[in-house]
Amino acid sequence: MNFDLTPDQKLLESTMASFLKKESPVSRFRALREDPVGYSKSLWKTMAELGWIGLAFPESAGGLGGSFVDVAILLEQFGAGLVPEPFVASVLAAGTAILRAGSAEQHEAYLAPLIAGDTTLALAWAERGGRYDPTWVETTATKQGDAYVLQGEKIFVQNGHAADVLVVSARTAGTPGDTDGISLFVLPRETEGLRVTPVNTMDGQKAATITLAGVVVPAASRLGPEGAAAPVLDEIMDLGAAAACAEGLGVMRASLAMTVDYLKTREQFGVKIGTFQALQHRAVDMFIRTELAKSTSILASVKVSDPDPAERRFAVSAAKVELAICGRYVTQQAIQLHGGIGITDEHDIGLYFKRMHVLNALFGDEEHHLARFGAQPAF
Amino acid sequence: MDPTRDTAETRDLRERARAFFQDNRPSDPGFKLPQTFLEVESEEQFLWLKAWQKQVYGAGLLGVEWPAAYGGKGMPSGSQRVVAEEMGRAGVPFIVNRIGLDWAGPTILAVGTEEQKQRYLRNILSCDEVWCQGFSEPGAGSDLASLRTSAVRNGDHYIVNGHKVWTTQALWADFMILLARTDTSAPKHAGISYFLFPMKSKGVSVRPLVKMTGEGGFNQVLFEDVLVPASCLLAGEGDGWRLAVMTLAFERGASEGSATGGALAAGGDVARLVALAKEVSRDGRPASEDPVMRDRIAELAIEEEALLASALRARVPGLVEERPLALPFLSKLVATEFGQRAAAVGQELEGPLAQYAFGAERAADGGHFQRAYMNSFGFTIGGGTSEIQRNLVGERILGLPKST
Ligand SMILES: Cc1cc2nc3c(=O)[nH]c(=O)nc-3n(C[C@H](O)[C@H](O)[C@H](O)COP(=O)(O)OP(=O)(O)OC[C@H]3O[C@@H](n4cnc5c(N)ncnc54)[C@H](O)[C@@H]3O)c2cc1C
Repeated sequence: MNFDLTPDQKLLESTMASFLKKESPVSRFRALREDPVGYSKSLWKTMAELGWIGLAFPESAGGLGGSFVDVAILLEQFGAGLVPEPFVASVLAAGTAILRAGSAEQHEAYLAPLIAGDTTLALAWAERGGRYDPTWVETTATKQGDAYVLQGEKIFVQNGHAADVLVVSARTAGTPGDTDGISLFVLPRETEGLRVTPVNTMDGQKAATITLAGVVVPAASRLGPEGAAAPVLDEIMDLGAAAACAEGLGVMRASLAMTVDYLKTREQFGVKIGTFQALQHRAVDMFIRTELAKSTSILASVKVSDPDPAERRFAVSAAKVELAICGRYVTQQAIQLHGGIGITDEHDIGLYFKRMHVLNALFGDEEHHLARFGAQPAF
Repeated sequence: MDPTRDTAETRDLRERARAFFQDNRPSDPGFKLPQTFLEVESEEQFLWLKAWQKQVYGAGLLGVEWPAAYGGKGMPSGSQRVVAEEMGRAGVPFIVNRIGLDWAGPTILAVGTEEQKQRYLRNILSCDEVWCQGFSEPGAGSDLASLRTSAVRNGDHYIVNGHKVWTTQALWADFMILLARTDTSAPKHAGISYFLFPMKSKGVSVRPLVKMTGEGGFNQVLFEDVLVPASCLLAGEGDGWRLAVMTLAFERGASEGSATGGALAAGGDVARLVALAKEVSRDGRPASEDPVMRDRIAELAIEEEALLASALRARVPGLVEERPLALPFLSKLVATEFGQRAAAVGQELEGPLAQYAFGAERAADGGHFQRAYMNSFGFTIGGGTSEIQRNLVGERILGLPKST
C-alpha cells in the first residue's frame, strides 16, 4: 500500500491550504458563531468554482470524479482551519444519497445546482431512539394515492437549519431497526408541514431538529425503489465517519502546532516552558497520537470506497475509535499545556477542543465503533 | 480501626445535616445555576447562592471546626467533611464563598491578629463578605513568585499598582487575598507581602473574562494607584510567600481547617453517570444495558471508591505515618483528573446528544456533563496545575532531586 500522495494530490493539498489560510482564518469562524447560518454562501460558491464540491462526484453526475482520498485532503484542511461550510452534510451525506439512490433526473435537479455551489443540502436520518443506527426509523411514510404522507421527527440534522433541500429517511414498511422498509425522500425546504428548529452545538456550529407533521410529498420525490435505502445509509455512515477522521486529523495537527508553538514562547521560572521535560514528553505523546490517528485515517479514506462492506467497516471503525482516543488526548493536553489562557473563549485552542468533541460524537462515537469492530466475524 | 464509621459526635452532626438538607432543599431558582464556585457569572446567581450559604450557616452547618469566638462551633477536625458528604449526597447547590471559607479564612485563622480574626471570619461564614484570590498574573502563573504587582509603603498606607488575572469571583468580592511585591531589591520570594485587600477601593477595575463554555466566573483585576491602609497587611512585610504557600496548601486540600470540608469529600460523579446511563437510550434500550458502558462506569466506580477510601485514610494520622502529607497532597491532583475522566465518560454515554450545547432544550441531564467536561480544566489548571502538583509530590514526598 502506498501512503504517498500523488503529485496532483500534493498540488491539491497546497492549493487548498493556501486558499483557506487566506479566505478562512479562524477569526472568520469565530465571527460566524453569531450568524444564524453559521457559514458563508459566497465562500461556498467559490469552493464550487474551485472544483471542490465536484471532486466528490463522478463525471457521469457532473462531477470531477475525485477519490475519497482527495476529499479527505480537503477535509483535513477544513479541520485545521475550522472551516464551517457544510461539505459533509451537503456532499457526503445528502449528496451521496441522491447520487446512489436517485435517478438521472434527480441528479440533474439536485446535484447539478449543488456542484455549482448554488445550493446546500442536508440529510435527515438520525432519530432520538436510535443513537447511531440509521435503520432506527420511527418516522413513517404512508402511501396515499400518488403521494406519501411523512410523519415523525429527526434530530441533529447537520446543516438542517440552512439547507435548501433536505433528504429524509422514513419507513414505508417494517419496524424500527429493520433493514428493509426504509425509503428516502427529497424535500425542498419550503415544503408545507416541515418544521425546522435550529439547535446550537457545543462547538459553536449549528444543526436542526426537523419535525414532519403530515408532510405530503409526491411519489416522484422518492429516491430509488421503495423500502431499499438501508445500504445507502449504511455507506453514508461510513463516509461520514471517515470524513470526521480526516477533519479530526486537521484539528489535531493544528492543536499540536499551536501547543508546540506555545511551549516555545511562554516563559515561567525564567525559561521557556518547553524546556520542562514533563512537557516535552507530553508534546511528544501528542505528536505520536496525531501520527497514529493519521495512519488509521488514511486507511479509512482508502477503504471507505471498498466494494466489500466488511473491509469498509473494519477500517472505518478502527479509524473512528483511534480518532476518539487520540483526538481526545491531543486536544485535552493542548488545553492543559496552555494553562489558564487555554480555557478562555478568547483563545483559539478551545475552539479546536470543542470541534473535536463534536467530531467524536458524529457518525458513531468511540463506544459505537468499538462495539461494531468487536462484532466482526474475525473475533 | 474503622475510619468509615462515625463517632458519636459526627453521627449526630450527620443526622442533623441530612435532615436539614432533606427539609430545605432549595426549589428551582428559575435560572441556570453554575456548577461550581468557579463559574458564578451573574449577580442573580451570586445573590441566590449567597442567600443559600446564609441559610446553611444559619443552620449551624458551616465553619463547624472554627472557634466559637469567630462564629464557628469548635468541633473536632473532620466534622465539616461530614456535612460536605451529606451535601453531596443530597445534591444541593454548592457554597459560594469558597475562597473566603477555604483559602482566606484558614490563613487568617492561622496567622491573623485577634482584631483581624474578629473583623473578617464571621462575615466569611455568613457570606456577608465575599473573598477572591489575587495571586496569578499574566506573567506569573505556575511561577507565582515572579509576580510584579507592587505595594509601596507611604506613611500609614500602601499604594498598589499592577494586574491580576483569572481572578475568580472578583466581580462580587468585598475583599481579596492579594500578593504584591513590597521590596523589589530582595530575592523574588522574599520581597512579597500578603494583603487583606478591600476590593471596593478607588482605582480597582474588574474586567470579566469569558470561558470556552461561554460562561464567565473569572476576571482581570487592574490596580491603578490604589491607596489601602497599612493595617491590611497580614503578618509582616515580606512574609507573603510563606503565607501564600500556606493558603495554597489549604486550597489544594493538603491541610485541615477548611470551612466547607473540601471538594473531594462527596464524590457523586459515578452516581450521576449511572442515572444518565439509565436515561439515555441506545437502539431503543437504556445505555445502562450496554456492556462497554457498564465496564467503563464500573471502572470509575472502583476508582472513586479508592479515592474516597484514600481521603478517609488521609484523615487518620496512624494510617499515613510514613508520608503524612502524601495523601492530602495527592487529593487535588487525583480528584480533579478523575473528575475530568468521569465527565468524558458522561459525554460518551450521551452519544450523539453530547453535541448539544448545554442549555439546549434537549441536552441530556441539562447538559451537565458537557459543562462539567469543559470546566474540568479549570480544576486541573487552577489552584496550581497538575504538572506543578506532580513536581511537588516528586520533590517533597518522594524526595526526588529538585529540578531547575
Ligand atoms: C478556572 C480558573 C480559575 C482560577 N482562579 C484563580 C483565582 O481565583 N486566583 C488566582 O490567583 N488564580 C486563579 N487561577 C490561575 C491559576 O492558578 C493559574 O492558571 C495556574 O497557576 C497556571 O498558571 P498559568 O495559567 O499562567 O499557566 P502557566 O504557568 O503558563 O503554565 C502553562 C503550562 O506549563 C506547565 N508548567 C509550568 N511550569 C512547569 C514546570 N515547572 N514543570 C512542568 N510544567 C510546567 C503548566 O503545568 C501548564 O501546563 C485560575 C485558573 C483557572 C483556570
